Amino acid sequence: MEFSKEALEAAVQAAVHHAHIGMSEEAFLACQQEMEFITGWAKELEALALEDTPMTISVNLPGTCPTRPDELSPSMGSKEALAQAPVKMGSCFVVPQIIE
Amino acid sequence: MNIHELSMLELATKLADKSLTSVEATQACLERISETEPKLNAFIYVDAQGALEAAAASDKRRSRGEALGPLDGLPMALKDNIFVAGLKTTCASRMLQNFVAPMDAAVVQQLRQAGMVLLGKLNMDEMAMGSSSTSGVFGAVHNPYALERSAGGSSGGSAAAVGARVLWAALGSDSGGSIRQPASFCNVVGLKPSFGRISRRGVVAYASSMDQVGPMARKVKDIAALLTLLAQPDEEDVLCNPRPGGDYTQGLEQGMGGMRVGLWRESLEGADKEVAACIGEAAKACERLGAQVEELSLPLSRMAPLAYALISAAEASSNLARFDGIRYGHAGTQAPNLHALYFNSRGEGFGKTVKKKLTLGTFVLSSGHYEAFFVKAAKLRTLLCEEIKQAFKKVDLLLSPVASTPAFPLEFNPTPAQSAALDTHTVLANLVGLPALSLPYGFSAQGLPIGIQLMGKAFEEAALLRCAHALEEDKPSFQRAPLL
Repeated sequence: MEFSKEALEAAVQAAVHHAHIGMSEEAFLACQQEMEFITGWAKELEALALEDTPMTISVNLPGTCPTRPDELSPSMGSKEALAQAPVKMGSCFVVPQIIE
Repeated sequence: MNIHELSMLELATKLADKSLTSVEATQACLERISETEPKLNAFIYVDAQGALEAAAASDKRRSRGEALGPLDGLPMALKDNIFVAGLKTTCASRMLQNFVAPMDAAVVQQLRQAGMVLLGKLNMDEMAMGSSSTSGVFGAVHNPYALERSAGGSSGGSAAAVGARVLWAALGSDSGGSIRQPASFCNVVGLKPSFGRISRRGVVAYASSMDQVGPMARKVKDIAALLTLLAQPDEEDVLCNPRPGGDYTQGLEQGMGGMRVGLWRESLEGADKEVAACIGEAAKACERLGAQVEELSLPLSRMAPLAYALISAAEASSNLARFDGIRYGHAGTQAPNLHALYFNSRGEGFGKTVKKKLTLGTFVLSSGHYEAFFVKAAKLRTLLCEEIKQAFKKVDLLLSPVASTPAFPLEFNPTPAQSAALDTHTVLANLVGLPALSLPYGFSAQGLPIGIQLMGKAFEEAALLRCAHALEEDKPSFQRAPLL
């Protein structure tokens, strides 16, 4: 897949937007350089006959997947589970205001 | 006796015959940490009080004849992407700088059940992404053999602490070479077990189809003892092998007679002369020890770093999506709306390397690019698995460099191409899920350690360790300590 300089910049902008990452101009340029290199390198994939090849998503899956009995068992208490939660005010969590 | 020159199992013997106590060993570690930390920066957190309490409890057990096992009372430490209940797990990232782990990782439970003393958390590349241990928020780790050089990454703190004789053993994690490359740079043994050999429950995910936890120590026997402890089933990690690994310390002395060793031809392309010389020397040693050595070509392996770059970025972008300042992680400031909150949180929380990885991962998974990049990379992975499967019909073991060069200077700022080349020899084992080990095998003219990589068949760590032990015994001169 070929990318012009403008197309690549737009692709990086879109990826940054979807990834929700604020970044400086310097960091953006570093991302753009990285993507330019990788998309150029990935042209080598076109030389491979991959049409009938299945994807490998994971390897070494042992025999059967272990399962747990479908029954209730003690789990982490609510105090521990909420230890990292935002500060509470009354019965509510205090979170940043997000409604404009 | 210099306690720091003992191997882990030699120290275990001293604890067992009560010529040393766990408190003495732990205090020796803490003193060594005070001496070396200003130079190495290997630790993110030292839990001196917790460690001394655990050591005292171990000594009491031993005095009552109730030791929990041969490793009871041995101090060790963990890479800071492994959960220890009640301690921060930061992944060397501002994003998780205040995250306190709510539970122990499975491997930590296993270490505690064996009575081991947890000394603290070790420095690393941010979110385990990197090959230099310079990208973390806590600063660069320095190589104990040359302080102005990198300790490798991403488990650089683990390797530096073991190499500097601060610790007898440590745990790291390896998604593309993060145990083996720093082990090679710091003159320690590092094992990435088969995918699924050790539970990953409680380890912060980076590239889920490749992440593995593994031990680092100065001797192969120590690695075998730690793997025996850690290679257990875990029904809470569905990708963990349900069969226990067994006792890897048994049969280590059987040598490598009759083994077929493949010298991975492509791995020597572009290798530094001194690295190539080490591999040649190791090949000769294998023959001398009774193995058959043949050169083996894996042409597709040249493309393994590309598959790794695409797949690891995709998996990272998915795994790290949870760090948005609301569900987990640093919450950004001054956000007028939800989108801005996400942007600020992730923009402030992540460093440059992680941002590059996540941007690339989001790109290769996005509609319009998914088929051309991610799907093709996953198909290439299938071809790589097949190529390796055919290779292992001819040989029992693959020999290669761990890295093309010894440790590089800390200020080395690689181009994207140079950065990808740092992982060239290590990523294949992660993509195909095989066990691979870095064994110290020499020094450059500048006194920098050089490791060799041995890759074995899936879940055949016993054979891998047996051969590594034979090579180690054949050439003990590489156990040279750093001048630190």
